[in-house]
Amino acid sequence: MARDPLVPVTRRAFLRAGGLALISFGLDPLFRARAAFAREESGRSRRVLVCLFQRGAVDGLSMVVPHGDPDYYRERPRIAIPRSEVVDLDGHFGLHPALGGLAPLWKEGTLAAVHAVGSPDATRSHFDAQDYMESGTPGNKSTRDGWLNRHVLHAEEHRETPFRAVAFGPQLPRILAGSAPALAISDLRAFGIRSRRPEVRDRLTRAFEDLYETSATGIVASSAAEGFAAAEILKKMNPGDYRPANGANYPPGRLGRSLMQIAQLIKADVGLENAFADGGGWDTHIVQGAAQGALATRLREMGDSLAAFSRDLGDRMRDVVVLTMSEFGRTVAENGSNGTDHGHGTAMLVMGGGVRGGRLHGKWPGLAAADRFQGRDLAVTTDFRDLFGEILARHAGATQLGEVFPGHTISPDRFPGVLPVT
Amino acid sequence: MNVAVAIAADRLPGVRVDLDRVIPETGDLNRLLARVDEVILAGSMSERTEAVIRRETSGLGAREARALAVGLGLGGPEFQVQ
Repeated sequence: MARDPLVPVTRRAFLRAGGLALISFGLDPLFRARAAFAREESGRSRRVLVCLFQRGAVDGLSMVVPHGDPDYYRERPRIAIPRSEVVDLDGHFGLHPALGGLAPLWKEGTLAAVHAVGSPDATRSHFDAQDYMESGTPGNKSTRDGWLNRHVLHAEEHRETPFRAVAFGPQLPRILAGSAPALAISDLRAFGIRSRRPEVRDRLTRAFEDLYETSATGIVASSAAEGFAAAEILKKMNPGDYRPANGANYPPGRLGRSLMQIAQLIKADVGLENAFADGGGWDTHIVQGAAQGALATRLREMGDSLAAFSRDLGDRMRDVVVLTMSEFGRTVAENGSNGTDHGHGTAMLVMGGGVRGGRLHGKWPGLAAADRFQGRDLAVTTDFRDLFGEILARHAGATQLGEVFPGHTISPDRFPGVLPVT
Repeated sequence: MNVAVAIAADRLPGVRVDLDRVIPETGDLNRLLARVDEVILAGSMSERTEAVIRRETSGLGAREARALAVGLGLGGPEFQVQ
């Protein structure tokens, strides 16, 4: 059941929206102990889930192209991805050529796709659909926290660390809003009190530390403590000196930087379990392009970022799952502006060492007019909560999925099968 | 906190802050504290906050002292709780 954010916080403290924070409370022991976060008491490495939100509704039909479906080409005479340019996956589906950087991962079996996935709610409003996908309660606007936050709240409490759930961005996204601890970080290199003059920075830091150390109580005090602890750890990590491993080359831009810094936190063993990054530019109503163009540019950035992330982490990917998501898909037919309009079902990618990769998951409904949702859109055959629930259960070890997705009965029978049964 | 400090120093991109209208510069620290308490904290300034601002503004000129006092007031716990 969704929690009321006004209910007193029961555990540690929580940074909301990245607004509070920063300064050391002398938490060196946290830093010294960080190596201990690498392994749980069971000896198993700490599992990490990375969620990547494509805001604006990605055209799943051009991201994972059903090139074996003649209706795809019939409905998109100007913007379909030519069959000759698709990165074929199985003779029926293929990746957009701009995602070619992911092809090796597909071949080695660490990348999978789920098609015709989405929300049971019919809204074509970006705002509502993103809200539903992040709250995990389609059709219910009263839910105030996010499903990833509820997962953190109900999952087993591990060693204390301010980095258990981190969103890369200027403020905490809906998916991580709630009572469980979460950090919002725009850039690891700039997390802390900022001043060009070190003496001013130190003076402000000391002053804020004093103000929050004894004046505040409850969520404000604990939020500040979380931020101060994180800032102290980051200062010692020297995030500006990070060099990706294995020749990984992240593309420039926010997404590449976010994934690189997530990899950095994973390798630093500071206790990261849940990470979130997002990016816009997917709302391609006008001049979407085909093998080249606006959508291709965005896909290339995403694909190259994911490929670099996998290469950078190397063997650590065995403990990591990356999940892409978008609020809905786009119309089967192209519009009069060489683009596509708001649709329904879409495609999501799942990447990780433990993923049942190299295959499409989910039931393909077809693109014939009679098979479409409301006669125009790709139908949804996999409820996004079943995909997310499977990943939480089989990767993160979640056992209280009823609390994470209230109002939805989670059943392994409906899991798309992106991960092996554990 | 960074936003609070930037506002107080009139260095927030895209925003023009006219502190002179609400908290004028003054060499009288008691008057400065009273204005910060009244304008920013609605009279809720704690003894701790007052002590910290007094300590940190000690020896500063009027302009710097005002910027620091306003920054600590906006970024401090009393205002954030509101």
